[in-house]
Amino acid sequence: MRLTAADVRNPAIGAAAAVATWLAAGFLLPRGLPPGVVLIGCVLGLINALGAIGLILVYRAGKYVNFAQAGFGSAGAVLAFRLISANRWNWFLAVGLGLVVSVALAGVSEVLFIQRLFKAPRLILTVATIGIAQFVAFFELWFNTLARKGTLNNFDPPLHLRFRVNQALFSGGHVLVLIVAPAVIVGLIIFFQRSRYGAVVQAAAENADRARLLGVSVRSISTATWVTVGALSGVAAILATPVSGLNVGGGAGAGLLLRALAPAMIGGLESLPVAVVAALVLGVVEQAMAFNLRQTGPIELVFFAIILGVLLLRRQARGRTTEGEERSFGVSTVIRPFPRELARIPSLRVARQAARALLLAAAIVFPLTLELSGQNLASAVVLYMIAALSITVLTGYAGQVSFGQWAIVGFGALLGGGLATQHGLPFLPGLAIVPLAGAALAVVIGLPALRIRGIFLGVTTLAFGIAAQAYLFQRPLFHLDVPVTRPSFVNSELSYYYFCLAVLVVTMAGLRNLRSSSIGRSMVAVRDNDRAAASYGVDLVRAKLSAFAVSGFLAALAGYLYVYNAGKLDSGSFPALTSLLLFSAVVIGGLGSQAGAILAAVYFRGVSYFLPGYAQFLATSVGLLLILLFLPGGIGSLFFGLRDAFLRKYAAAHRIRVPSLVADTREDQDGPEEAAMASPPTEPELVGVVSS
Amino acid sequence: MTAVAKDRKKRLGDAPALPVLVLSGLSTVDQFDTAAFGLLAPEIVADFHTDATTFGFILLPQLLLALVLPLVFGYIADRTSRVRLTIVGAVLWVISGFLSGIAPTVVLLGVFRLLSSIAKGPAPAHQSLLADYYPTEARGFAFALYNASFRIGPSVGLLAAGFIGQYWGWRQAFIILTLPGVVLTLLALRMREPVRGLIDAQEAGESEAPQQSTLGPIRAARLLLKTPTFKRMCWATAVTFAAVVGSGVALSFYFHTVFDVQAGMRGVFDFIPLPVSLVTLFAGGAYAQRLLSEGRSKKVVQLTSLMLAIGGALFAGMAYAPVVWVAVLASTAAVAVSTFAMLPLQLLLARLVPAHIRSQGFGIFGFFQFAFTGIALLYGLSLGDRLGFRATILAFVPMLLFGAFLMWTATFTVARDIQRMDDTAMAQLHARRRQAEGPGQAYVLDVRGVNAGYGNVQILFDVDFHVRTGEVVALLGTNGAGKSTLLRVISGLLTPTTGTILLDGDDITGLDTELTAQRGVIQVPGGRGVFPGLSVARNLELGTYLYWSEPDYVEQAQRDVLELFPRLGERMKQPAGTLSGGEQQMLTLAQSLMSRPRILMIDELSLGLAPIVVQELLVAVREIAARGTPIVLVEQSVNIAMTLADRAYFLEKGEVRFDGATSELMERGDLLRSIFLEGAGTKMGAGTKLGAGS
Repeated sequence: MRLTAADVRNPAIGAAAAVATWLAAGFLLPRGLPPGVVLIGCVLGLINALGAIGLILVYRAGKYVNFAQAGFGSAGAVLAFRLISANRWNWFLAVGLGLVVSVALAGVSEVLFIQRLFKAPRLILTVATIGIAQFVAFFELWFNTLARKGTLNNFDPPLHLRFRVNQALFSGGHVLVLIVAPAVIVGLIIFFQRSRYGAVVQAAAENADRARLLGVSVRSISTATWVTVGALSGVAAILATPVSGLNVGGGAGAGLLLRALAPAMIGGLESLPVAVVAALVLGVVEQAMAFNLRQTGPIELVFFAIILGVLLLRRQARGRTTEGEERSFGVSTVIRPFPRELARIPSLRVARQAARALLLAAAIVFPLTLELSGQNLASAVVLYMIAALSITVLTGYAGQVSFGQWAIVGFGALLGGGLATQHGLPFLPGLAIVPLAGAALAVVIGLPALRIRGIFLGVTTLAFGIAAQAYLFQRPLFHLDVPVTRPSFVNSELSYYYFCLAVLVVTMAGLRNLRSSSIGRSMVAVRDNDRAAASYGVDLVRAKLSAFAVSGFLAALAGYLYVYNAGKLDSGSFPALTSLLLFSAVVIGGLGSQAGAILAAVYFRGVSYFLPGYAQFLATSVGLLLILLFLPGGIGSLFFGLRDAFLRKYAAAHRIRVPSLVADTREDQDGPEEAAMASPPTEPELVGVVSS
Repeated sequence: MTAVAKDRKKRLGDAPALPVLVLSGLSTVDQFDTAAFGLLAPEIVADFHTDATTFGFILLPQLLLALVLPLVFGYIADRTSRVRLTIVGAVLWVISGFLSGIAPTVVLLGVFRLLSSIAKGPAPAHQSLLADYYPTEARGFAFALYNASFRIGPSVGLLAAGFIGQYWGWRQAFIILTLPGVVLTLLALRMREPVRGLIDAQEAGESEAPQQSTLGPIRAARLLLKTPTFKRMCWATAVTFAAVVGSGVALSFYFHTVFDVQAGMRGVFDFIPLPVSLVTLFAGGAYAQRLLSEGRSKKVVQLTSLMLAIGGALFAGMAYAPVVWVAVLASTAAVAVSTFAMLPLQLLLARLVPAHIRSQGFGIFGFFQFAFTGIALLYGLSLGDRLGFRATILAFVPMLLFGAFLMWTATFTVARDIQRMDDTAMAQLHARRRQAEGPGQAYVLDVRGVNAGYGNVQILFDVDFHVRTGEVVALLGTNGAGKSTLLRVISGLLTPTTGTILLDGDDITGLDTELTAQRGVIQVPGGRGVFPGLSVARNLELGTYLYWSEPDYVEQAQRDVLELFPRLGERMKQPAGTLSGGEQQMLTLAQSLMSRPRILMIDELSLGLAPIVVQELLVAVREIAARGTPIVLVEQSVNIAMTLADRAYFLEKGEVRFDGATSELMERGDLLRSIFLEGAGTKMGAGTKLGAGS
């Protein structure tokens, strides 16, 4: 008998399948699957289900993934439990205040940032949530400092219970989860699935313009959704704290994000019940693995595999219905090339080359003014530029989103370090081998991109990054026991900086050639309209995979040089969420141009290395959001806008026709007389009124 | 006395002097108690045996209120009598001042101070009143007088409070200072509420002010901030004010730490700019008023921006001052220059904001003024502790220059935005004239001189378009002619760069789509009009979304449309996405009918549908028209337009190429040929098809 989707949704069959699986697991697993473990899994699964519901609600309302979600709850929970443990507040009072703070942070973020980016491409909105996550993390850390020294860490709710099921210990916190979470989940599902206000939310998500034409305020719905999600996130974090301890910085933690993302993806970022069931199953699976394997590393790998599998299957099943929304996850601004008509003019050509030479000279002279540590950091900035360029190729040129790029940098670094220290790989051959390995890895990661697009590809790559950090980088090959040593010709910090700078210059020249080559143009064609490109005979597979290969090569190259810059690194140097920041940085700099990537690296790394602490925070969170609000095309667009304005003036002054610069304005083809003839004067009675 | 009276006569023209004197007086005395409270703080603290920190907590809520109150009172003032609001505020102020004088505990004192802050809330109403009392040529002087009160009030208040406090005590000071308030309140009773926008209308040569429904606070803010000039002015002010306030605090410390100036002398330094700034205030007002009445708004913006920039430069001079007198000179000059810029800003604002939301306009502007001052204060002080106060003052220079730059960017938009204001007022007057001529003459929808586009690409060029009561109007044109864009502009999905859209004489330009829908501008989009994931029943329910509070109507409307489209009744449970194209179009039409259209705009009814289905839909459309709902029919198919429409418009490349009775259109073979290649060779071809269709 074939099982169909409808059968799986039937609760009776589902329950029977669950029990059967449990019994089977009990027999097959080495240590079995006692009920206590299942129950603990359910408790954690319920908490994750709350997170998954939040992600789905925001995605349904706006078609973007909200990376800031966990942060709202974390901030509220940290505040609440600091007040309880340090200042002895009443539990209900403190938790109430925590929830209010979660809701307020979410609401304020939505009104300040999301509202203003309402019509922006979904990619920009997603990046904005990354900025908001940073912004909220600041509050979380600030709340954490409210604690007085030497306070208790007792987060138990006023529900004093303690009992065991098999070996598993349960407390009031667990019971609270089992009471509150299902109530919240069922309530939300009923509200969104059955009530007519739920229908309004869905309508606004399905066809926003039409909903507005019928009088629905889509903006208010977005605000209401964020407020709901803030509350949900607050409840989840407050429920989680007695069970798994206070998790400061948890909002920015990859583990938490993955555990909410995986079930949400299984629900197709759409179905709440499916996501809830998935969260429960994954919770039990995780506990079963922990109980039987006594280690947690592979669970991230499992999550990655599940997300990948679900997405690959889903695309086949759903066909073209969601295609539109995935396409809208595009790159918004296109930077104009330097107009051909002007490029030949001697004075402009000299000016351009002089500007380039000046920049290069500045890059050469600048480190001379720094001390040794500063020179080391300057090299790191240059390497960050190469990593940023790898995203320029992948996303800027080919339109493929990667939230796992920092993991490839880490792959290059740790593989290079491991090979050098364990197997004696010399510096120069490694400079070829490791990036090639990185390219191969990127192609493997890129394979799903042949089926998956947009934000879904982003989530997959993010999951890869998390799995790489938790599992891959823990393998012995990626381990550095001793620091790597540089060869003599780049032994000093200054000489290594110049070496990196030379690699950067070569990279940029190479990318310039790539962009104008046939493969580069086919990448851009795929980015702009893959179907049209395919119909013109562009090989989509080749274009996409070569973009992944080039970007993987560059990322691993940056990583390889990074390990020789730092000497010693470990998996902790490559947190998965840095990928998100790297990606945001490139968006902020300006996708699609090399200058954008360079600016991004200067802005993000330069700022964080050479500015004092509070300014760093401003630059990376508030600065990111402000730039998104006021310069949606990135810092680069400001530069190129000014350049184009200047060129337009220049062309006008020298009477040179430059179509690419004036394409935006309409040229009146027919003269004024002709236009007047074509449209006869209307409404004579009104003409009289005007003249009186 | 007579000289002053004559002078005033000259400056205010025929307008009465009472309102501006009363309002300026009220805002002068409004400053008294704040000044007294600050000056007498040590005595009050000693009297209540409390400490400075508690005292600080009394001040904190007042600061927060200062941010929110302009918005709240702006909203109230646009709805009720502003004179009455002013009087209520004044009475409340007198009472709270008196109560502060007899406050038994420090907490109650805090409450009374809060009350007094609230009493000062109606300030946005004052400015709106002034704009309605005085015509453009007198506004400059009136605004100058009013603004002078903000400069004079604190100084007079300080002197008076100090004097009274010294000889009698702080309680007596509070009580005595309320006396001028009592006098002014009595005078205010003689003021009469002016008609909103009447002065502007009279200047345009009309005798009556246009009628216009008001907006809620968030909607008004959204509408105003869609006006580029207003938005830029707000942000420029926010940045500049923050810099001025932040550096103002730093200045006192600067004199103290860098030049070792003692308290008494600092007071003198504080006082020096006052007379100078009063002069520049009036000068700025007079100059801006002259420029504005000559229509040179761009010059006003340039001037303001230049003044802010010079102010920034003077700040730098202040920070680098080698001796104290240079610093004092520079700071005096900076204050004088920035005061010069103040009135041009307010006069521009009065010119930019439509009369019916003018108080809110001033309220929003007030909000922006204080939006960042708190942060700037903290930033200034913390920077001063770390880097010294010379550097702090220097740090505010780029902020001022940035504010000047933001202001400068408004030069590109200001003339256009003011023109748009005037055009709208003009259009509304014409609309009223037509309404007066008789019911058949009035336009339900009146689109005038609309230019619109996406980003840098302009789609519509000076489009004029109107629909009379009960009329069916066809809007024709090829692909990309701008038909759908015009509908989007009317619905508010797209804001026009210039031009006016009136619905029954009411200005709806730039309103959010939800609001235009609420007023009955209902669009039936071509294709993609349903919510595919929701059932047909839910889709229909959403059609009545605006009327869910009236269950009877919801039921009635549903019965009506099911009668019109019985086929939908058979499919109620089915997801709308599974309906056929024709049925989806029916559902869309049904939804739109249920939302009580004042005017129905149907976009591409026939797109992609079989002729037989189109016929079925046309029957429905004809019935809707027969009930008297005016309809705009956007079509590529001339045939369909002919069968239904009384009048037709022809759009080509975003311009109206023809407008007139449909029968006349048939004679314009040149248009038909150039636009519809298909079948256009035979002029009668369309006509015969038409006959066959109907």
